[in-house]
Amino acid sequence: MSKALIVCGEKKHAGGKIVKVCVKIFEDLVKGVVISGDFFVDPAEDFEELLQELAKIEVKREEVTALVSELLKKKKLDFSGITMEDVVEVLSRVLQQNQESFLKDFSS
Amino acid sequence: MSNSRSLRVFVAEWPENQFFNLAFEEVFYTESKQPTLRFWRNDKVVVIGRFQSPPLEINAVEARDLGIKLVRRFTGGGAVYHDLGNVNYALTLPGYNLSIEESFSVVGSAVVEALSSLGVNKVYYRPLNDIEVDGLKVSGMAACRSHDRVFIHGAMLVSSDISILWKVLKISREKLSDKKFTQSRVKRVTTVNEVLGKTVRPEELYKAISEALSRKLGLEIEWSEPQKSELKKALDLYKKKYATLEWNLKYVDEVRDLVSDEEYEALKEIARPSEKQEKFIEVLGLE
Repeated sequence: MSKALIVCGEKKHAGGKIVKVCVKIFEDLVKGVVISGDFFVDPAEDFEELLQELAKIEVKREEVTALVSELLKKKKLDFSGITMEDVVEVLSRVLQQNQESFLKDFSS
Repeated sequence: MSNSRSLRVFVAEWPENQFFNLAFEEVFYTESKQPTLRFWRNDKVVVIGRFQSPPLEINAVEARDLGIKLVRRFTGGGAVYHDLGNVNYALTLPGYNLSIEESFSVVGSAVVEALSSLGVNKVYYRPLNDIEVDGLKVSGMAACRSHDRVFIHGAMLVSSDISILWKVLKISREKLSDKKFTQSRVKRVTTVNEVLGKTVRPEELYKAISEALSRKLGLEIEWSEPQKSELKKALDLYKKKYATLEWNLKYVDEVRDLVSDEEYEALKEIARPSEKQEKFIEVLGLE
């Protein structure tokens, strides 16, 4: 039986905050996305709701970036220290990894 | 009865129980009926931001061995280390409609004024949420807002043991050895006592910060104390939220496979009050 793979990556927004993304992959399915970091989001409750949804997500690997991006847009969140694009960028780069990794750095 | 043009100020702290300190902080945010400023200290603890996954931030085994606890706060931002050499300030402004950025700027500039008045040179507010002395961070802030109020709190290093910070916060351990990160990623910090070359008492800071904020906000200082009803609500929140693994270890299960069993056990130990700390709450006699 194959084991779930967890890949993580992070990015520091220039002059700003860090966003960390971890994805749990099982075969060709993504079974959970974690977005962590030292940024601020308003409203916090709406972002938390999104995090709950993402933790239980189950979607094809190639579809997850578009889905997360859509969910983020729908929530109309106001990020401070990072941007929504940073989150999506780290997620899409993390998904290109095929080995278990602890916070691979994607800062430019 | 207090009037609306005053700034209620009090020192309310339970350093012996970091979980209760954070529970009170949330009640302080949601329940304050007028602009209110709180000063407080914590014993050894890493306080993580609302959206942080603990295993990605803290060396739990190291923290456990050093007797350091872990609590999640209700504001965003990054992990900070508190000990008795760190002073916390918190400001609730009911009826104020400020963005997160504006809130940081108001409090940040007041704290800068306060430090200047105590003789600190080259001190400035660095957006988004830092106060620095000549390139070294001395205080960090976090904030949140709701439909009818804003809240800003900050931690100021006065005489903290900075070396502990690097031992328990994860980023530093992994990045410190890598030259590429030493400048850009690991923020260098200092303490108020270090830059002044003398010992500053917490009370001096409390006075300087309240005076600066009172000027900035145009409100008159009114020294006060928390109400019994606020303490009772804090106790309730302590039990339901801040003393629980469910809250403090949120976003751990999702990355459980990355965490060794030893680390996981350590996380569970540091993220809830010890027996002694539970007893301490009992003797407060709030029930």
